[in-house]
Amino acid sequence: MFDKSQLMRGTLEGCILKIISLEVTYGYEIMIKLTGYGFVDIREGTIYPLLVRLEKKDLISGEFRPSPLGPSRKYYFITKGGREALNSFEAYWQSISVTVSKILSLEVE
Amino acid sequence: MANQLEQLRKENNVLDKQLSKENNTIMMDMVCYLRSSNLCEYDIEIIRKELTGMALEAQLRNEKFNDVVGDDYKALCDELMKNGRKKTLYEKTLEILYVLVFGIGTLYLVEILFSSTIINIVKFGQFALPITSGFLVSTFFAVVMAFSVYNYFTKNSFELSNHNRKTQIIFIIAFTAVWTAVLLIRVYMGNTVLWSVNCLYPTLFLAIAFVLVKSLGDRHANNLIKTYR
Repeated sequence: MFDKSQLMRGTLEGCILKIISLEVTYGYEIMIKLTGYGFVDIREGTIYPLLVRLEKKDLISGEFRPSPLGPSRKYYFITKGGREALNSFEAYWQSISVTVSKILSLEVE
Repeated sequence: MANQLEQLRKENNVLDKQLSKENNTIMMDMVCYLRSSNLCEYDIEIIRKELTGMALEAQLRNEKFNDVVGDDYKALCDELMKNGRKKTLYEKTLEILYVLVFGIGTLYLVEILFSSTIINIVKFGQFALPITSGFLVSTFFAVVMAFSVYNYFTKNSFELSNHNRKTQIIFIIAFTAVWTAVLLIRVYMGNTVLWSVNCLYPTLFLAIAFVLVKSLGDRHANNLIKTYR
C-alpha cells in the first residue's frame, strides 16, 4: 500500500505555514482547522513535531500566552523566512499538482 | 544569576500535579524517554510544558490524552527527538562533567564519613585520608554503573513502566549484583594504600569544580534561552 506519511509531512508543513500566516494561532486550533478543511486522522500529536521542526528551522516562532482553558499555550507566528518558504511551497504546489493531476488522469489507450 | 532552566523545571513540576494519575504516568514515561535523547535540556522542558498543557486541556474537555496525541507515545517522542534542537558538544561536556563531579564528590564524602578519617578529624584533628586502590576502583565502577543504569532506564521507560514481574525481578537482581560487586571490590581491594592526602585539598578541589561547572552550565542555559526568544 502507498506510504502516505512522507507526502503528508511536506504537505502538512505547507498548510500549517499557511494557517499561521493568516493569524497567530496555537496547536489545537491548527488541528481543528486542518480537520475542518478535510484532513482526516489529524491529531495535535501529529502536528506538534512539525511545529517543533518549523520552529527549529526559524520558519515560525512561538510564544507562551495565557489561556482561558488550563495553563499557558504556545502561540505561533510566521517569520520572514517562513513567508518565503510558504511562497515557494505555494508556487511548487501549483506546478506539481497540475502535473500530477495530468498524469493521474491518463487512461490506458 | 538564577538558572531559568531550573525555573522552568519547577513550573513544570507544579503543572504535573494537576494531571490525572493516568496522564501523569504517561507524561513521566515520555519525559524520561526524551531525557535519553540528544535533545537540549531546555527544549525537553519546553516540550514537557507543551505536552502537559495539551494533557491538561484534554482533561478539561473530558478527552483522553491518547485522543489528542495518539496511542503511540514512543513514536511521538521519536518524532520530537528527530525534529528538535540537539545538544552541542559544549553542553554534552558540561553535562558529563557535572555528573562526574557530583558523583565523585558524593562518593568521596561517603568515604570520609564512613571510614576512620572522620574519627581522626574529630578526635585528633588529623586530616590525612588514605587513598586506597579499593576506593579508586569502586568509585570508577559505581560512576560507570550509575551512568549505565540511568541510560538503560531512560531509554526503556515505556517498557519498564508496564510493571511486568520479569522486569522487576531483573531490576532487583541487577541492582543487588552491582552494589554487591562495588562493596566486594571495596572490601577486598581496600587495604592497599596508594598514597595519603590531606582530605581538605580534594574537598576544596571538588567544591570549586562543582561551583565552576554549575555556574558555567547556568550561564550557558541562560544565554541559550535568550537566543530562543
